[in-house]
Amino acid sequence: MKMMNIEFHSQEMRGDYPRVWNQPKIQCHFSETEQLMIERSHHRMVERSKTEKLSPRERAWGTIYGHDPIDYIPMEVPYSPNAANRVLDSFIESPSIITNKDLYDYPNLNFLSLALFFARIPSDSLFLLVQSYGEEQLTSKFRLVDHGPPLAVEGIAQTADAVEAKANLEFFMDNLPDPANRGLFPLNLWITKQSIKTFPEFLVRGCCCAGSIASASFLRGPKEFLLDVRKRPELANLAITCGTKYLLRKLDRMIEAIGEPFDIDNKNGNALWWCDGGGGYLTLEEFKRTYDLHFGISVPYCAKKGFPPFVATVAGGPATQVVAKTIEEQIGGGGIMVGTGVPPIDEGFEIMERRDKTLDRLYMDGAVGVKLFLAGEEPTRKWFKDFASYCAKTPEKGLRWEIFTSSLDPHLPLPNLDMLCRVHRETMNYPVTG
Amino acid sequence: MSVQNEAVKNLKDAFYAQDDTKCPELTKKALEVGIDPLDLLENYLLEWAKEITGRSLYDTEHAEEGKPKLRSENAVMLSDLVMIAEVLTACVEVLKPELAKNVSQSSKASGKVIIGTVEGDVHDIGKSLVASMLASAGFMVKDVGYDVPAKVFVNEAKTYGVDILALSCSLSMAKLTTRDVVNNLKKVGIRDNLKIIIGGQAHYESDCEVLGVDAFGASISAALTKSNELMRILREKRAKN
Repeated sequence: MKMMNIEFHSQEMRGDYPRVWNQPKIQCHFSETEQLMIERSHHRMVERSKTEKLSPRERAWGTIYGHDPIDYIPMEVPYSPNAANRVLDSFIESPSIITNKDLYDYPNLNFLSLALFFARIPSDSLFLLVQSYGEEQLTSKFRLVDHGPPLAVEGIAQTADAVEAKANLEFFMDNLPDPANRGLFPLNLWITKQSIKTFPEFLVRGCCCAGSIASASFLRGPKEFLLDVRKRPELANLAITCGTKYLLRKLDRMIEAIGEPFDIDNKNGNALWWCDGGGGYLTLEEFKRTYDLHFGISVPYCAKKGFPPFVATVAGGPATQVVAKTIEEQIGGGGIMVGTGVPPIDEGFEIMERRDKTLDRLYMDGAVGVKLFLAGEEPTRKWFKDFASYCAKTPEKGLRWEIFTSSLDPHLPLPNLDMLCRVHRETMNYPVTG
Repeated sequence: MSVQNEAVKNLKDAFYAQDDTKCPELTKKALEVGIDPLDLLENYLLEWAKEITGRSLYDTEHAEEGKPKLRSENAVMLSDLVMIAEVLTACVEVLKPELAKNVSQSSKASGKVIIGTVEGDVHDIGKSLVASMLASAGFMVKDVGYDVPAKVFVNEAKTYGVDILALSCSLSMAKLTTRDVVNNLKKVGIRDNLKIIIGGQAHYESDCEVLGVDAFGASISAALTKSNELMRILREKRAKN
């Protein structure tokens, strides 16, 4: 057999990796100053929510499960290291002082910026985007950059030689690493646990991005994976199987971190977001083929865990035409979020549908893209009205909606975000009428 | 149907089917029946590639007021684009020796382009497709790869005597490098000697003003069209001077 080109252990990863790489369990003690800043941030978040009819947790719970009365359609603005840079640089347009590497190196700093971020931005629940999508976990060569997630330079099985690629993928699958000790995933787990502990009034959404298709792309290299899908489907399937198995281990670890959330009646529970994009890469037929395989592995596994209502699969592009049927056929339960491209305003936003067969209802997610952030007040107001109008025209039992924004672009003017939040609160009250 | 028309039709069918095995063979056959290589490249292969890569993602024709737009059945996905690049490159490989025999025919040698993905981003596919398309269209293209620091772009622009700098970026944070490229070009005093076009998922039309660049290519075919336009402007400017 050929020599494997796998570099498997995190410690062996090249580059100036952060110290969290060597710490399977991050244990940080906050200084008095740090504690003060976190407490003040928490206080601000709680005080702000006191002026509203529902607590943030009641609203989030009512939206996810539809059990409770609701006041307005909630909006989530996700936290990520990119956003943290701007927080710590006093929200200037182009961060230049604190870098992503700093945040990976210093978990305390990362968490502090998270607290400051949610104190500043009125997000209805705490969506903790991943620190990376797994670029540093599924590659044999990656690079850390000052501003942005790690760069996947070369996948573990990135080779034009199909035989070698197959051998590498099989080796990976036989020696599946533990994500809890790998790359930046331990940092994800720690931040999630800290947030649950620190902000009990808010629903925390832990995150397990990226999904199987993106993971397969990292393993094989994006171009090689796309060529596999078209010309060597068996190899593509093997890469997706590898990606799915690794993803399931990540899900396991994140579930452990979130702890006891998966009981519908337990309103103190938190949520898990499993983002599985990839719809934009593939044709409808290819998308269905790869998703059938991925769901065939992951859905029965998730069902056994008993958390389907919380797991979301986001798929842009052709999802509605293809995946809705796949879900009906294969899942037979709820908890899958399906995205569809719905771009009434210059492709600035999308609407996601979450069909939940168990609860017999539909849940929709309006995703605000960067273009809308940049568009100014008039288009933003129009978008919210269009979204409300769309919601109002979709009379399905138990329908709930939610707005989800993209992460903060380095050039996104902060006043635009403030305006977006203001317009959201002015236009998204129940009952929605458009 | 004439022999030539039939050869073009067969090639077109294989091209649209993205058959990278048949296409080089059919390109060879088209040459054998007397089709001019430059004509075949410019008026057929590139036009087909432009048509395919320029298709709208969404079905705007049948969109209903207030309803979501659905993905068009003819939408081109990334997997299609990768295959189109493979097919086009394979055809151009067949044409190259024939084109080289009659260099004077390639009178449209359009200009020198440096293309790359900016530092902080490793997205390579779209950028490589634009590079292939520009090269096929007669530009002298130097692809400097991905994750390229601003100073490399500037050095290349200085030493290569470039007409157009094409910067790709698909990660929003990496746009900071685009800004650095423009600023560094100004610092060394060559910004006005060349045109800058940007593309990739993280760049927008509005960035032209924000970042101080000359054009935005929303698609591969748009990148080609706008590069031609930039060259026209550059030539007129140079003629005046």
